[in-house]
Amino acid sequence: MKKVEELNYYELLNVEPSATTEEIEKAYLLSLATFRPDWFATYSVLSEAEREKSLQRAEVAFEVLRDPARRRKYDKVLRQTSPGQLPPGLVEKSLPPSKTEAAEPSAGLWGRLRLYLSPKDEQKDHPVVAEAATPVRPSLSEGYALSVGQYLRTVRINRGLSLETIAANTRINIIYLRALEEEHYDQLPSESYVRLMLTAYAKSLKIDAHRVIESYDSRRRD
Amino acid sequence: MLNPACPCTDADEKRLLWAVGGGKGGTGKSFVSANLGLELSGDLDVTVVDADLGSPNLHTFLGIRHRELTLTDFLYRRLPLTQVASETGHNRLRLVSGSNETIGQGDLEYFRKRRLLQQIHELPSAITLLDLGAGTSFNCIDFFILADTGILVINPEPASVENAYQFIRATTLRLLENTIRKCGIVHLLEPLIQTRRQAGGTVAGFLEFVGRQDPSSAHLLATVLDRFNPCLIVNKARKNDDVVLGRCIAGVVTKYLAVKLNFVGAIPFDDDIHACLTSFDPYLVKHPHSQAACALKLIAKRLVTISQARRRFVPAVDLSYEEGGRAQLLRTS
Repeated sequence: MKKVEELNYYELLNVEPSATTEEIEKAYLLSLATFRPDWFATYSVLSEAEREKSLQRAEVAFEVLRDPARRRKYDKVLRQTSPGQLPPGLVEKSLPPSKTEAAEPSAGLWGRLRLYLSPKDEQKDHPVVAEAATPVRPSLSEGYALSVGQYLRTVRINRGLSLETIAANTRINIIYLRALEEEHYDQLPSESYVRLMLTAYAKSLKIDAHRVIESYDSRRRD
Repeated sequence: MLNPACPCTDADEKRLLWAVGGGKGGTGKSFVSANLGLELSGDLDVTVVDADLGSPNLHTFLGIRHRELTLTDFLYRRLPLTQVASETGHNRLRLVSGSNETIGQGDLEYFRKRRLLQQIHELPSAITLLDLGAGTSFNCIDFFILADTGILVINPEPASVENAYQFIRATTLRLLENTIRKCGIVHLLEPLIQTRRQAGGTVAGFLEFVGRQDPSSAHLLATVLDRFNPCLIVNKARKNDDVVLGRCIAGVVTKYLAVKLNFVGAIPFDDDIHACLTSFDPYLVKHPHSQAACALKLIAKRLVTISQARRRFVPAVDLSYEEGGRAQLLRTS
């Protein structure tokens, strides 16, 4: 039986090497659900530090497997790895330094999991979502003429927030956040995932997520 | 060196033995046992055995107020278990009702336990369902390991989840202990006991240690663990989160506790269950089309499919090592 540190990316997400992108996304969402900080699925089995690390492992595995080019490269190296060796791109080396404080429950993380866990629940049921602030209109009159990505970027800059801060608050990879701001949606997973991330990003800025999604939908229709 | 010439016994592949346990009390083990029995007995001969030796109440969930014969008659009057198994009046379901004796039943003497285990195996029904008590007593754990399929019933609450993990850890360590004793590799007992006593001791860590010292024993123990595949039911589910919880727990157990746990389904919370209990009506008979009933039926189908597909492996029915007797490892292929 392998230790968790010895698992390759497919084993970490509990998918077959032949899994489709959709299956990988679902497996990743299940990992997020399992290891999220405000839940008890790992209660008494994992410490806070271990839970955090498991979450990070899932993130790293997903980043590679969701990108077809990176996945092909990984598969090639995996085939060349003999059974006794550790898997390529040793996950532990990719992990950021572990935090000493327990992670705060993140409205962004909950937003990302929302559709997967409770598709029909009202937002007001969950205390983390309920704490999202009253929607605030940005003070820019030209805000309504901006595209979605520009709007988010403008609000963020006006608030004095860096992309790193947003990434830390929402647990969304900084690469994805940049792609959202630049509206390179082809670099992102499926459309439902884009909407999840836009929602989480908007909530972290304490702006009306519904309006952001509406704007995104209308722009996509045009 | 291991002696591979362990005597093997062929058993009837078509007969299945399930055990319903779960660590925490009040999760709905008896409810699940009774209603799975009701559902399956529509097509098959099924016997449900109330093996909750301290506080039996399986008969209540089947709407039976008066019991002619109970496990007490088997244990102390030495009636055969086939005679104690009584018709329930529902389909082809028979019930071995729990013991009337309420003191000390959790600590059954070795020879009574052995007789019970052997006669459970000899019951002629297609499926025998054991309703175990709460906790991690040796009785509970040994019966759970004995079964072809162990079924863990939990509720979507932190205490229940915690007890479930404790139960799985306890059964896994007991399974390894039994195997070590049976195969005469007793030099591994002390490291296993150390693992059990350590707060952070894990089965994976123990297997890694054994792998360094004795690779062939490590392979044997890994094979035994590989064949131990319990199933998980989340009872009293109230929202989608609770269903996802079952999948999450199955993943955690598989990855961190060295046991492949199958999540077979969630049963929705239903106020009518309590109403049926108070009126002594079996739930599936009274509400055959409710959401909970549909969930039970689906779970029953899944359990049958999983059990039939699995190779039957029966470790350590013979507890003779406790009395210094000759050990046997029973295996059916």
